[in-house]
Amino acid sequence: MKTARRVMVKGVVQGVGFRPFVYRLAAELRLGGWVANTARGVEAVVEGDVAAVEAFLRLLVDEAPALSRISEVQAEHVPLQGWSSFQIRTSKPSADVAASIPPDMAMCPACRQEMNDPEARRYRYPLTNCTNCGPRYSIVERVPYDRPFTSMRSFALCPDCRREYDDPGDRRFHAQPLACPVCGPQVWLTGADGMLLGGDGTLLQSDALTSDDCISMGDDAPAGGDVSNGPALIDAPVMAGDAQQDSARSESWAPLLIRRLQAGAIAAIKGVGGFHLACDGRSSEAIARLRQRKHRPAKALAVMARDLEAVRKVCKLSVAEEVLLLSPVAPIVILERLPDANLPANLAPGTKTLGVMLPYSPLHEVLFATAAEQAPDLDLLVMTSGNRAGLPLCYGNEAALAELGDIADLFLQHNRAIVNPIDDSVVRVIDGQLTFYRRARGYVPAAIPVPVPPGVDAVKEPAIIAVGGEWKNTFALLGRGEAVLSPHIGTVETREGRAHFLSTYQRLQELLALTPVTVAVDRHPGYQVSALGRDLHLPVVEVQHHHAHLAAVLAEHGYTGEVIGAILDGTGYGEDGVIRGFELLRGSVRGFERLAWLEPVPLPGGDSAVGRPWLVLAAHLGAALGEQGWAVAKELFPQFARHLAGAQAMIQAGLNAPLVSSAGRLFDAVAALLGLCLENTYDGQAAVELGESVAMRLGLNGGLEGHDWARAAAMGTYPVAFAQRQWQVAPLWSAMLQERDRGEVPEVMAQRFHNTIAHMVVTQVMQAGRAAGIQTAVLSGGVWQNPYLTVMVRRQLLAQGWQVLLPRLLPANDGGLALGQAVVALWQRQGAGRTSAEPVGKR
Amino acid sequence: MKQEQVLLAHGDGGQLTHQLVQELFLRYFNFPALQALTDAALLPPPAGRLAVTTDSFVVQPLFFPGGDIGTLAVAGTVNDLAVSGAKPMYLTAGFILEEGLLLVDLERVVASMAETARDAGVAIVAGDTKVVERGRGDGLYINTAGIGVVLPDLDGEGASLDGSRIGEGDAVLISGTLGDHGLTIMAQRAGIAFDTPVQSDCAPLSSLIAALQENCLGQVKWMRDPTRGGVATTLKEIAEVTAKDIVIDEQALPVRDAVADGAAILGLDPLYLANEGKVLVIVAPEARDAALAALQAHPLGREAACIGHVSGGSGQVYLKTPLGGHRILNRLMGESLPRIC
Ligand SMILES: [Fe+3]
Ligand SMILES: [Mg+2]
Ligand SMILES: [Zn+2]
Ligand SMILES: [Zn+2]
Repeated sequence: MKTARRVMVKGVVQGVGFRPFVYRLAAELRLGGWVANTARGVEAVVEGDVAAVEAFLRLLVDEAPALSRISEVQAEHVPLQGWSSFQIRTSKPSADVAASIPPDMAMCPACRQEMNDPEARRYRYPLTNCTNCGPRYSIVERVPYDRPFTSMRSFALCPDCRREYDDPGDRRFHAQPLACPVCGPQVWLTGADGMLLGGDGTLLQSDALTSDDCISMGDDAPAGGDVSNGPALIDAPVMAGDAQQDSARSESWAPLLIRRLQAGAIAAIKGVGGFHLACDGRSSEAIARLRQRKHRPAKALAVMARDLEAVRKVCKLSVAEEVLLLSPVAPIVILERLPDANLPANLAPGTKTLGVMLPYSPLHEVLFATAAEQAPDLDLLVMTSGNRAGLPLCYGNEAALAELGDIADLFLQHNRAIVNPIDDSVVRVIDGQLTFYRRARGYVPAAIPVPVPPGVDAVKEPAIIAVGGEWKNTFALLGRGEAVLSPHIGTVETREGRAHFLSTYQRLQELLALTPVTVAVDRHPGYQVSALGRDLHLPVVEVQHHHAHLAAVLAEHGYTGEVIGAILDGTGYGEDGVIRGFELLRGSVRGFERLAWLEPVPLPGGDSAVGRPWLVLAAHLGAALGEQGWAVAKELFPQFARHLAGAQAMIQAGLNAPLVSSAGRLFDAVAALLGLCLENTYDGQAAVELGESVAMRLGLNGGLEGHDWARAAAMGTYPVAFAQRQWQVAPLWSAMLQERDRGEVPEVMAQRFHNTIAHMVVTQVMQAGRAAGIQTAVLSGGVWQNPYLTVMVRRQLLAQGWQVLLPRLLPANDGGLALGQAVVALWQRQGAGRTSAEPVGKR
Repeated sequence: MKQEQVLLAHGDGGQLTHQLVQELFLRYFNFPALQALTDAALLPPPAGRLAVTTDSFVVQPLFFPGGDIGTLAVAGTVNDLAVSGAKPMYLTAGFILEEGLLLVDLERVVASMAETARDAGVAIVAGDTKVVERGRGDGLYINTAGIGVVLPDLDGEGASLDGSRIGEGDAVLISGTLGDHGLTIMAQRAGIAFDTPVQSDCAPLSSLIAALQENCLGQVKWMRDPTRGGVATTLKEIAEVTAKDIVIDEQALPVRDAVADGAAILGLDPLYLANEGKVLVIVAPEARDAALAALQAHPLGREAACIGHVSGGSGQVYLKTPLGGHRILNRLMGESLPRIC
């Protein structure tokens, strides 16, 4: 007996080989009908024997392509139409609900093997890809995901590629970005002046290394990339046929680029989501030059390693970390450096780690393959984001030349336009768990399902935009019961950053077919991003910073009950106007109540003191020990005597010294006391270096290292008082000063300090939990990116029978804030919640 | 004077009040219309539209390097008239004295007012004195009102300085260094002395502005004295009014080293510090050089600079930084609350 079904598959089902999979499945089961991409997902009609159709529906889910993520399958009976064959139909645009756009994916093993085969027609073609790999989100202009709606639309397929595209048995069957040296985009190398460095390399005489010539930027230099011109107008240099082939392969540019990198040059390299700035990862001179030109004195630089073998030479590598490096996401993984790695000291100063990724695009593969032949020692390349300090990532060829012209000596460009710029993701395995530092390429725009208030139809519920935090900004679009987080935006405090936010917002609205009717913003009166949110002219929901941190974690775990949240970060504007960064909350996605907090201290200079740990220390010592504390500070920092006198006077006069209760500032102060870091040259530097200095390491190297938290805890703590719901740290300062005078080593003091914070949190969490009948804790806020502290608190609470929820899909810092804002707004809008200023109330 | 302090009786309208007016105010405020002691000053009508303004002065401390509350009370009101395109002519002065104020201090303030008024070419033509009980004032408050006459080149074709003539490409000028007054007051209030002393720029700008207008007849499109909230706040206000963007260049901002240094110590930004002797000017691009030259030729404008330009946009102010970005500037907030998380 025959039957027919119309099938709708939703989720990440486009750009992942889903239609060829359906085609093959239908062919194997001898079904007739068709399959097509629509704006809602993949749609198919199948007709055949009942048993075969049922098998089809089962296998559709069970054997779906590895990169797909099915969220829903609908199948309805339809009349028999007598389909004799099965077809793949061209995509049908229009429809109200969007299909998910897949994230960008690292090169697959089949493509890697093929491009290293001298006989293959894509031998060393730097922009090869297939159904299983390659760019997706970064090249999409519109949905459905189909070649005419990507920046590949301007490249007409050659007959060979056409054959592959049309052949259901081929790996490139309906691979939208497929390309080859004949018909695909080209790669070329220029100097900082944009002049082509072509041919066999002998044309290149001048040594741009010694030249600091820069292309000066006009006042109104464009901040973005090629998008405004449309990708069809990409600026490939004009070359004769042969030269074009050469340039597309690696004959002309790769050996030259490798030679120059070997000689210490800095190259801007256009990759998948934007430009990188690259240099020899083993040359401290090249790194110093990059740091100086990029105005990045100390923040750790990530490297791309030739292969796993190269990684193992410099870092410990666990199985979990190896799997991450080799995954289709191919993120930067923060690894433990080998003590004898023999790496330049300026690569990741102040840390014992190194951010490492593997070549994830064919272009990187060509680079390292060429290096292997020509410069075997060049096995690590620094690959840091191609942007000017504080500005968004460069992704257009012209913009890169204009903005990075005084940083890079060479520019490796191509004419596959990047439509949606996206940074590399940064992850770390802490206590055996994947932990995000930055969630971007390979993850964005995958949606995160969120809990929806009872009685709410998630599909019909109007969408929400949550604009996120002031720095490390990402925003969230919530609709249909799930949230999509934007790529890393950074900051909107510049014209360029604001424009980047708004264009990304515009694009994601279109791709997701969501039109927000509510905007959620942080309550901080000085946040530029909250001002931007208000400028969207939608009804505004204000969300307290730490409630958002709490709700972000609850949302990703789908947890709607009440928890005790320990929120530790730098700055959260409290609903009472105090700047808070260390508080214990009891609450849920509906609302919260503050249970305990760190006693506030006046911070002289307010915002401007944040980058000056020595000043924060003085403020703390002054608050704890009065005149004697100021005297100690002046003794410690004679170079800042005038500043300290001014700071003390300002606090006494009550001028520009807001009250601040912040874990981040406490870490700053201790880092200054231990002499680790006096000035932050990047956000969080003092806290990072303090965390890295701890004598024992916990939960690293894939979670294998130092699980002996009990032994670590036995190293002791400093005394802290708790009264009137406030932790009072004056005793801690007295004890630390005494230990310091006795000559205790900083690493041990750092560890005791971490133990103290852990003890403070664990004790009060358990106290609060007993009183409230709660045994679930949330740890959220940027401080929880500190592995030692996280392992210590998590393990101690687990040992007491607690459930501990940590951020697993998003960073603990403000990079994950927007999800919490969106979810709080969703629940508040339903009247299901109370305003954040209102306590949850005691039962 | 026999009494050393202000007494409540100085405000009761009796003998002590009479004595204060005769021996102090009239002695310094040597202006005929005031000396006539009529209930109201009787003045000839000027030829042209009137500009009228009023301002109250409550600065603490009363005396600071570079001036005192009296200098400020005259210069502030004179400057409000001058930036409106008017030639300042008459001032009134109302004094609210706190019981216990030292009479020598009052005398110093009154002397400053008289001197500043003469510098500015205005006459103080009416006045009033009240005394409040001890603890109900901060020593001395002054209110001044000012009357000026709008200069003919502005009146003629209906051209106005309200910002409506501002266009893309116009140049933004400042008549001198930023933040001197604000930092001086802050340092005084905190009781801090810097290595290099700073002092208020407090000064009447009537002659500087007159010189500017003479040299750039009809080409000045907008002027404002960037007092409270500083240059950034003042520019943000006009950017919003005109719905145009203003881009200023961090490296072009004239800031005294001592001010930059002191501001860094106190965690303050010179762009947001008050000025009391500076004028922001927007002129057509072709008038930029002439305007700058006119300002620089005047003793109060020697450090004048072109700090930016107007561009199309939506009412934002951008600070172009040496690293290449354009930082968005907003109005002054109360305290600089930490934002970094
Ligand atoms: Fe935060
Ligand atoms: Mg005024
Ligand atoms: Zn592939
Ligand atoms: Zn081809």
